[in-house]
Amino acid sequence: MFLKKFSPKSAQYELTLQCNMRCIHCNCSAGEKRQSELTSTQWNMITKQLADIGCKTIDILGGELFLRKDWFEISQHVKECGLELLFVSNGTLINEETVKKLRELDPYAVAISIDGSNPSTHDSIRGLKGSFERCRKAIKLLKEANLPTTMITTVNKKNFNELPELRSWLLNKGIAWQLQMAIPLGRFQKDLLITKEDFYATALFIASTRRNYSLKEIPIIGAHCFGYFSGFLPNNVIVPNWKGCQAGITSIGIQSDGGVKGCLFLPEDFVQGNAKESSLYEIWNNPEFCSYTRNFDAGDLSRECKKCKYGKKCRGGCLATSVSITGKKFSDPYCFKLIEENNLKN
Amino acid sequence: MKEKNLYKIGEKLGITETEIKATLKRNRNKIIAGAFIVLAIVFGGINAYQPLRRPISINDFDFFMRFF
Repeated sequence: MFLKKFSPKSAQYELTLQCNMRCIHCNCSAGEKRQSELTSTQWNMITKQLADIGCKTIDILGGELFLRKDWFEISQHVKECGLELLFVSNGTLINEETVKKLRELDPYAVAISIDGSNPSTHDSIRGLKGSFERCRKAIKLLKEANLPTTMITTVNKKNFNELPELRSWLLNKGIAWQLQMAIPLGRFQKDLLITKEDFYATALFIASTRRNYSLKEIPIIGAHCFGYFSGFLPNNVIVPNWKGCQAGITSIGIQSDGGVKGCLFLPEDFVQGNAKESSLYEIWNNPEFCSYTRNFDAGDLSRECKKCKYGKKCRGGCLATSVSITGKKFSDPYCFKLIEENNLKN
Repeated sequence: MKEKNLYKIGEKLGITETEIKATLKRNRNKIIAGAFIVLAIVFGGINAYQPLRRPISINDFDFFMRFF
């Protein structure tokens, strides 16, 4: 009965914490490997268990996933289990050989992070000189191989003003563009967090781009953190039907050391179990697992969300954003409705 | 919130007033669409609220009675 109600539609794998970049906004402070990272046999076992409990898609992230020599073997097993694949990479290690293997795997998307419209901004945000050119080359290779390519831009104070230039570059290239907001987790410093007005401007930018350009010209989308319940911005622009944080409801995240969370982007203290010690079936079906979202009650809302009429449906927005900014669950202050009521009133 | 605030915010990313006006959701479109449907029903003679003229109308009492 429990399984029927909560089934992990998508899982995120932190294949390794090792990374060749030192991005200022990295939410998991990637760089060095975790102690005792999962072996390929262990990852394959996890994939099998996830498939058994109804998972449909696996997002493979890092660190930098291509630093693991067995990435292909692990991904291949995902496909063998009948699951869909998505890769999120920094792009610097993608070459002709990688693209050939990616084509074999037939992922539904390969996402590359680009965080600036010029080498100076991008390289300074990502902490690796020359990476801008390497990333663009990777995108070109992926497109030439006809792979579904997405560019992810994590918006912070340093690159906020460069969004129009990035859009000009992307126009008519057939590359999807996902915008997300950098939140103060891991390495990201709070002083670089965009203001609420800039957050709203970014949403306006996404909405107006969708209105003024066709999806063929530029398929742009805001990540789930771009919400919620605006009185002005069209609903279908950002999150079509936001029903609150999906951690432990339809989503599960697995760290490279086996730590299991409802969502990979939640802080370390949300780890509830280890895939090395128990099966994912046991972890997922444990009534304690993600009880904060599974047994959510409107009384759990905090701060301004408490008195919001959409609180029960919205569940206080993105949990990771809420916790990282306010230190409390279920009170994401980066909310359209709140901003419209408080910041843009006069 | 006032719409002029949106124009000011939009300026930050070079979004013009016209672009913003076109982007914002408007109830006006829904009202026009609703009015158009009502007019089409009235003038088109498609009167769903005349049960006796439509044997399978759900408003027809017989429609419900046939299940008993």
